[in-house]
Amino acid sequence: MKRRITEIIMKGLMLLSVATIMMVLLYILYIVARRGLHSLSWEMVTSLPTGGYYLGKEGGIANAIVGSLMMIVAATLLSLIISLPTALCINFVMRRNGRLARSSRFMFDVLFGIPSIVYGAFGFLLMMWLGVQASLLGGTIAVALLIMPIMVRAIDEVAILVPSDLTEAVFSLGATRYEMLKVVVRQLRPGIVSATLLAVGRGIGDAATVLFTAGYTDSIPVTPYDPAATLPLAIFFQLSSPIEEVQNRAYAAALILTAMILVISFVVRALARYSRK
Amino acid sequence: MKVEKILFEMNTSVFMDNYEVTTPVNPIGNAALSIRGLNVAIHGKPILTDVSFDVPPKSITCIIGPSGCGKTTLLRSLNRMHDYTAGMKVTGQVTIDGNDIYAPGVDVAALRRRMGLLAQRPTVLPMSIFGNVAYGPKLYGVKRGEFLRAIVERNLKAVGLWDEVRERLHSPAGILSVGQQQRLCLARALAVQPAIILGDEATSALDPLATRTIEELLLRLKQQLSIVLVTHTLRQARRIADYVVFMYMGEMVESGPAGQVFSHPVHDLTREFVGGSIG
Repeated sequence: MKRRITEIIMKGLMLLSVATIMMVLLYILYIVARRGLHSLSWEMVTSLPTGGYYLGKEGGIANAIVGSLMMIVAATLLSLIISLPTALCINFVMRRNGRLARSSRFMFDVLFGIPSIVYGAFGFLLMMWLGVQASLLGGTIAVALLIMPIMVRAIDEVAILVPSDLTEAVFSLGATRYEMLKVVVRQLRPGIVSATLLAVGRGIGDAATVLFTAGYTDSIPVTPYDPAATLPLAIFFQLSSPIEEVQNRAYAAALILTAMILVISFVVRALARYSRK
Repeated sequence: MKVEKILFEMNTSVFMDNYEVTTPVNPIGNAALSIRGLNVAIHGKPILTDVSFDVPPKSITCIIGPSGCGKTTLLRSLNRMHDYTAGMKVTGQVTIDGNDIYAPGVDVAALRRRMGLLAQRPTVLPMSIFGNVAYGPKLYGVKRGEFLRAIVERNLKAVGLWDEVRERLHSPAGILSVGQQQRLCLARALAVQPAIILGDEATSALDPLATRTIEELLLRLKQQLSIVLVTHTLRQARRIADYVVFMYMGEMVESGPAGQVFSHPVHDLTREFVGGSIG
């Protein structure tokens, strides 16, 4: 009887946890939608800000939408070409649970925990040293640095599960280590997709990293050396305005950002499914 | 079509472009493996000490012995699978056709190609059924679709899987049953034309029927290849072994023709193991 009661209580607690998280999530979405939906318009998505936009007049935040998209695509690709070999190295070149591999994992966990403003400041110093001003390039590098540990650890979490049977089977057919890794990457594909999405979600919404490194502008960047506007900063600037209409537009921008992450998730997952065929 | 005939045709290789180029000088089936004074130790702790025996060509050699006696370690040192295990030190000689595989400068990839591996649990590659069998030949430069298709068909027929999968060659290999997967692994190994098949308790994850299928396949394959099989079931060794190597505590106790080892073992330990009092 006691065991049955425990069972019921535990089940109840688990449901309660799920409900709590769902409620918080839905409440956030509700607040954002309630304040933002009125201000959301097609114009906001498609046009650049005009002189009076930040005072509540016409215009849009196409500059920030395009800037964010450019930056996250470039940063994710840049990060992926560093993260994937790193995760493969930790698992298949180093001894998987050896001291070197474990200390590498620990370092990436530490990097993961560093606040994004530090990445921003570090990126800024790097840019000063290189003589680059706040630009799309600078922002891309800073965001790539920010999401790299996330990607490495996310790919690593699935790579660690690849059985040595698989690598041995490939070796036994006479494959070299590089050829073996190609097979492993196929096996890891779902994990790589998840890691990418996780990184995109983190990178696209981060304001602190791009604050110093990408700058802000009312136009769409043409070259990598132009400053670029981003959605998180668009939200931040509009929210700090005393005008209520502009504040509401910040919520609308947040809605756009949320929708973008949703769309990117669907597109990436669909692409992954398609490429598997 | 009879399996022997297919295997014979595999040898002729008339349908393969530069498939032959990388093949070692000795033709399939003439390889005998000989192990002399093999020692394996991990971090200085010996696992195998002074193991010596021969694997005669075109036969099945079963390595038997109680758990933990070093059977699998022995098998894995035959195709240098210990290369990537840190702290593992292998000394002694393993020669295939007179060439020492542990000699410096040996092309390990080419060496492994001569020895197909059948693992304890079937391990399909994350690709289609077709892709699994074609993977090895592709590594060796077979590109033309018709050749690949011919190789895949021959090898799947050789393991009796063709009729079961011909309609779904491009489905992921993971959908097959465990028994089918193990046969697919065998077909994949055969597709690179090995001289020796190494089996590490290759049937222990299979049900009795699938086990029997694999055993029958091995018995047919030994007409063309040498097979080294680690097994922990004595009955399996009795069923299919031509030669038996009995290992105990990291040492080779006795080896010889199966009939002799089973009915007239020289060593007391062998008598006890074969008789069932140890192991």
